[in-house]
Amino acid sequence: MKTWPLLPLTLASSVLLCCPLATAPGFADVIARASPQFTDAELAIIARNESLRRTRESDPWVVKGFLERLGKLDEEAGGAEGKGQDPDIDRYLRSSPEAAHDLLQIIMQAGSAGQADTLKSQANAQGSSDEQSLSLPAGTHIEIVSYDSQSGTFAVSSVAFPGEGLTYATARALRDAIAAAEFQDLLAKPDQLVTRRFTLSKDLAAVFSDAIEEAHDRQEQPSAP
Amino acid sequence: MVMEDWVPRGPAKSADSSSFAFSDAASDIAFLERIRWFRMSLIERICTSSTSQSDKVLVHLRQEPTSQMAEFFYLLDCQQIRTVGQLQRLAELHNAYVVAVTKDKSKMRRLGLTSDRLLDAMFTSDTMPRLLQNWQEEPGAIDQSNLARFLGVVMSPETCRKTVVACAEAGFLVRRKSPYGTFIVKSAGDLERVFGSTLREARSRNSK
Repeated sequence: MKTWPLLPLTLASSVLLCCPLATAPGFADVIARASPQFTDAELAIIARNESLRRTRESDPWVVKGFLERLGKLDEEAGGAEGKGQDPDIDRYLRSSPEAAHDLLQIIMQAGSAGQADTLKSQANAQGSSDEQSLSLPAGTHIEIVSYDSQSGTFAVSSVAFPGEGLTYATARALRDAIAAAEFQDLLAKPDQLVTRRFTLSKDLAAVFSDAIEEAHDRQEQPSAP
Repeated sequence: MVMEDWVPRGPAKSADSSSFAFSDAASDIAFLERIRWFRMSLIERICTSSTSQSDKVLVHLRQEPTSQMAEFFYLLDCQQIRTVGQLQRLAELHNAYVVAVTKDKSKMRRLGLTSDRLLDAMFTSDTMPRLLQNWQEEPGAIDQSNLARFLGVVMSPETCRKTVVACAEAGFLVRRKSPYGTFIVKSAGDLERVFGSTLREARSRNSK
């Protein structure tokens, strides 16, 4: 097919966030002007990329514009070696397995949090007694799922803020709660926050001690028949 | 709504290959065969399910970005990203991830990404409301540029646009112009169904 040699270049141009045709001179200029001057480095790239070799014959300015953009990109991204017929183009066309893996993890993380919300809503609707409520001063309300007195670690199900409605507990949420005016002098260290399980600093634990003990006692109590 | 930081899970740092025994590789090869079969069959089935059989469309459907887009919509569906709040959570996690990558130059190089492209992939105070509004008005509907943001680490915005156009011509996506001149994209459902059924078949393949 006649357009095949241009296809990889066109796709690569997309990846480079530019359209070489848009940056190259107009069609009339291309006809009128002589071929662009390529540097030795650019000639080396053209030599090892089949699509560039072919395209240079028909559209040298497209190749020139592409190479200039590629150079800038390589400068920032640190051009790693590619393979195949068009090594310098292919590496920007290829989806990184690492990026694809990361995207999967992001959606899974968002999904698991969403499912937790759904389960929480269902539990609330059913009046579940699995979660212990813990009343805190200044209108802040944290619902405790479990508490380990030895490690001082507790898992919270939700954190509510006055005026913001119910916000489900996340590391950031708890940090924000702790950063609220009434707790400003008791900031927890970020490394004490691990996903949905939190460890209170000693100072903060002292403030919450009564409430935590209360929640702990509730956990110890046998369920009502 | 507030959002926890991006927490990577289970990175494949290194494997202890010193005690690897090739004699035990039969199951591994069977698993490899499933992976290969999945990739091959997914492309075949996507092309077969396309309502357009033009070369122009099929060329795009056979490329990796189409598989990636199918995976994205499949995951949205399976992970039950349904409500506006869940979508916002996803967008905020995505933003946190993008910020983390911009701070990790070696990872940026590995992924072949530039800081400009990463920043363009973030949801800002301008783009986030539009993302949520579109979803609110029609669950599952995403502005094409916002879809490109979600997929920004695996494909460029222009590749995303071309893939969306091809998928729309194939009948997998509904693509319409909004009153604001932007394109709204919504999956018709077949793309993720093809992905899911092929994945499940691959999983159960040779496992009996």
